[in-house]
Amino acid sequence: MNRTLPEDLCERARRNLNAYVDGELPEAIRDQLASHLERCASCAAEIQTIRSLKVRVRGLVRAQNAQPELAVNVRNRLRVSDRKPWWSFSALGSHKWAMAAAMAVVIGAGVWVAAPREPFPAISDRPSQNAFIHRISTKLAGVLRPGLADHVHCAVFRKYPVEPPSAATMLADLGKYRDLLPAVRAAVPSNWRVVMAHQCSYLGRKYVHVTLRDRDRLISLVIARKHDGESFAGMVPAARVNGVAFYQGVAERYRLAGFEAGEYLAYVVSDLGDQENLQAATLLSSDVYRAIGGIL
Amino acid sequence: MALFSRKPRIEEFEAAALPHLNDLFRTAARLLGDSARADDVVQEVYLAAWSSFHRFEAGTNCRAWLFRILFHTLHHYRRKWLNPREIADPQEIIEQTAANCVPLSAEITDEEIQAALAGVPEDYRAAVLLVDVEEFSYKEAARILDTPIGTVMSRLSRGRRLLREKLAGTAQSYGIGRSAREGKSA
Repeated sequence: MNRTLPEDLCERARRNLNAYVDGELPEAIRDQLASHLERCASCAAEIQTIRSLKVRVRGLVRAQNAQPELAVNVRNRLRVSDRKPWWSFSALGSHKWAMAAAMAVVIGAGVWVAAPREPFPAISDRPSQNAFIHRISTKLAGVLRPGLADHVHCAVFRKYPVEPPSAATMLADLGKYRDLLPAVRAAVPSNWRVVMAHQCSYLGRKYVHVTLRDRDRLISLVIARKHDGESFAGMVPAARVNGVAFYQGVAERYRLAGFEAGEYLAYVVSDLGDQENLQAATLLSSDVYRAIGGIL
Repeated sequence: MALFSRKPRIEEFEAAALPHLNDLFRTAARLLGDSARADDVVQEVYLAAWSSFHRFEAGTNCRAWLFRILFHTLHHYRRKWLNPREIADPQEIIEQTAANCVPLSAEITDEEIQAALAGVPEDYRAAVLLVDVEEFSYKEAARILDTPIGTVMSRLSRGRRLLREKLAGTAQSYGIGRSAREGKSA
């Protein structure tokens, strides 16, 4: 005679229901439990509930897939994973791809700045904003000013969002320049995150703008089509990399570097040293070129 | 172009590892509650996996190996980026709420399940995701989480129970769960 009370059987069975559903019970225990389930509607119902929830959770979670660009980003980053940090290169002349970049394309401008160290005007306060940008631009060559202005307007005054837009949003905002996003992500060290990527305008001029952040530092990539007569040609090149001329300027703590090709202008601005900023510009520009060369 | 040249075995790595990208992403997204962060973490996982691919034994479970790296990466990511309050383990809440098994109402929607899952503390959610969604064995999940199998079983059990508790609360708020249970017990 089996003296075990039905409640005891159920209590013992219920300790094993999860493992039973998951196929993790030893054969002997599994068979005992299966036998109990044939006689116990309560435990059988519990098994069914565990199973049905498991199936539903699996189905709905598996319905979520990564955006296609994630695989692109992963591949890109794998291919550059052995590269030193882009600002640590000591010789500009070693990057042959920069020549190809400049031959066919003009690349956007980048800005790499420290977090604001003084209070800035609100993004809505256009007069104060314009006055600030004008003041710090006075010693800057005119052809460099658009890149500085868009960065200060867009990335510094607006400040980067606490939570960046989704990749899908940024890709949509970039429109035909969408390939910039994975290219930039692939170009920079992993501690830099893209916090803004969009097409924008400032003072009537249109830009493509990508901003990255690492702690209190920002870097923006801005692409601007040339206006009539605009060129770096009137400036003395700070460096030539494989035949491509890069030009530099300083606006208070911002360092700008840029080059031109075709109908576009490119700038990189940062608060790093002049050489580091220049190196960043050459390295970033090649990756950008790879992404947007087909468009430009 | 040398900077972009492939290492000899990167094609092999990609062929083995990239098919699991979606699995890693959705697990990271569910644990972080944020797709953008999951994107970042998954990229870090692949970089870390590639850098240690020479230690990976061909023929072993690449997917489980990647998940192990994922949880290692998540651990460091949380410490670096998230407020400690976001990752605190509300053990007391579990003990208070997971006392009873609660039937699952058929009227519960996918959205409600997703919301309930998001509310399950992360350690328990991880066990549910690994076993229920990714269909790892207890032994594999234990290795991925670097815990004993008994801990996986305990977290899974508590995770499932808490999920049901939350869903029962949702159903009751609509007057669904009560009627369903009453109907069953009648």
